[in-house]
Amino acid sequence: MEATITEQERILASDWGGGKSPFGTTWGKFMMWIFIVSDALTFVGFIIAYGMMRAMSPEWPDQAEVFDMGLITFMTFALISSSLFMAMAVGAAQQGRPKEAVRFLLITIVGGVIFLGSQVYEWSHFIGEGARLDTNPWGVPQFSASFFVMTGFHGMHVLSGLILLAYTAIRAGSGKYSGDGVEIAGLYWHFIDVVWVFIFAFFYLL
Amino acid sequence: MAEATHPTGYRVYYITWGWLLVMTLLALGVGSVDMPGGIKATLLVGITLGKIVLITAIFMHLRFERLNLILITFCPLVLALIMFFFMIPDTADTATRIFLDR
Repeated sequence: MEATITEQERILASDWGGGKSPFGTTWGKFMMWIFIVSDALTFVGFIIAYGMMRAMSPEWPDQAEVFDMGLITFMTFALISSSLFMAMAVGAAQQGRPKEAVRFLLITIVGGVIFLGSQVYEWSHFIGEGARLDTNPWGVPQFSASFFVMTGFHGMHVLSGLILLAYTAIRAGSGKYSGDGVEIAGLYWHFIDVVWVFIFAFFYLL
Repeated sequence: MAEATHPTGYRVYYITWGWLLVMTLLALGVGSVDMPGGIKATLLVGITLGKIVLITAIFMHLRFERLNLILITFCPLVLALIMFFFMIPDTADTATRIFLDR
């Protein structure tokens, strides 16, 4: 009998053992991971569709001539740096330093606002030069269509991420603080960074 | 618990941030240099995957999670890529027609 219990314990302790907490994490964090996976699948679809249009297109505009690459690099820098502060906010929250966590969260929000502001500037500049969802002055309509759809969806994610971060910061600041809550918001924010890494490489650089 | 093994200092985050910036500059360099499309795409995919691994493993703490959670996050994406790959012959035909019809 004793041997059976040991065997059972061994199975439960393994990665596929199930048990009370099969994933060894809280339900909130696990749900955020599931959401991130489903959201990532949306962006995988966008990037694949863009790749197909790009491969089938007889020509494609030179991005460096259309976009201000200095601005795009600055936006990337702002988002990566905000991710750094987000990671530190999670660290501070988990180690029971809510004030420090709020301070880092606010810096993360500033980074996100800088990114979003730059994107608004980029969009208005792009539209001002005659780009629309179905047409643009530089060549195939798929160019501006994929730009607006991919950066637009990503921008909406940044906006909702900023709202989530503001909510998390207010909760942490008003004492309704939860280390897990900060980590869940952090997962979403880092995911936004991950998506931008893909857009930056495949839409702006390739 | 997994939380007990989380890093106590910020040093690892600074180093990760530095590497992410280096890889961003590297990607910018690859993007601006004139080279065959296939090589450029391969290099950019490599750099991007490197950045993704850094962000998910260190910033998102995936390296402290159990193997089943790690597999649950990455397997669907790989499966989606395989699915899209098998759809290329049909999609390519349609996409070509859309271009020719314009």
